[in-house]
Amino acid sequence: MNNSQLLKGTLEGCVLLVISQQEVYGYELVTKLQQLGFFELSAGTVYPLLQKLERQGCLKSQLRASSEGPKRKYYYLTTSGQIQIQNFIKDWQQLTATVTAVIEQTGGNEDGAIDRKK
Amino acid sequence: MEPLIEKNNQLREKLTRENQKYYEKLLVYLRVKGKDEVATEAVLLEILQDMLEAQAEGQTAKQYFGTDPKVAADELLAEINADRKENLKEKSSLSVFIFCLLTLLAFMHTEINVIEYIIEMVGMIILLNITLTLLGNDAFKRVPWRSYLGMGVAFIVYVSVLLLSDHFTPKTLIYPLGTAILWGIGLVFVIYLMLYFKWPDYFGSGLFYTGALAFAATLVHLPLTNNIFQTLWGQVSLMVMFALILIFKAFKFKK
Repeated sequence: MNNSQLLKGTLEGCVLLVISQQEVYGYELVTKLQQLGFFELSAGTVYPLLQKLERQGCLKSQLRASSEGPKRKYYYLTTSGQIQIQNFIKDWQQLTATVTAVIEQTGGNEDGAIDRKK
Repeated sequence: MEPLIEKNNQLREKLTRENQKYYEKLLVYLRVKGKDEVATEAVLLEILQDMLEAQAEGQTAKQYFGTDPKVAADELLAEINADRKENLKEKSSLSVFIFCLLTLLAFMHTEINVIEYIIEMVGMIILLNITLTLLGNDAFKRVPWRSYLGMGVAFIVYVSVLLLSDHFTPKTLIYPLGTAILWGIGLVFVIYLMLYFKWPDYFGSGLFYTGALAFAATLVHLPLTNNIFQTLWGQVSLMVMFALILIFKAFKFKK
């Protein structure tokens, strides 16, 4: 299975979570996500997500002066976005619980090895 | 929208040659395929600013944005084109409508002649359509200065029609207009300001002209100055000044 498919689905939730902590502009967001663990993340994946989330109403943006000086587009969370985060966390916990159970019951373990019970 | 494009042109120079090549491929691709020109320019500028910051931190455009920019670009386009096709047209119409309305108010006298008013409204709608046609063309493929020149000419023609219609329409159905019209001018301008604060990218380009028109309109109706600006020469001079501003802007772009 392709890692990037798993990634895309969860990246949206993570973007919202990061923005819930602090208003950020594009570059800041990409850097933060990389620092949090998405080491291979490229910005090209993030911009379409930001557009989508803004279009859906989960995020709003505002042009503000940055610490460097020129105005940047800062994104912040809306109420709709907060609800989306709650749904995401619930879904994620359910998913991980389910997948963990499947792995355990089919003989897999944390190291990724599978005990073939045959 | 022009401020966005100008800013983009300025900032692009700061990219290294390699990064510039990468970015410009993205730029051209998005501009050709993006259906909402303002939204496209806004995203392009955002990416450019971030790319410059990444460059300052020692990253190349490829390292920052990714090895497959076309995939990212297609995803961006899917979002930009999603339900924003009509946005630019709506906002342009609104912007030009307010512009025309103020023009009307600027060149109206102390009374409203209903027949003349109808003629002027028709003229305004024609002016609106001409301007929209000029604005709606791909501003990036064409040299924008021609649009300004065209608008300057259309504006002159329109106002000439306004001034002439004053002389040639029958003087029936005339109702007096007091300085109450100043409130109308103020209201229209305030509405424009509100639109500007809500959508600066769409209404920013027209802000200066709308302000200038509102100012001219005020001069025409203010008790202090109205005796100068309600004469034919007063009106012609206002019109010439305005047309000159538009033409000047055209040459500024032509460079």
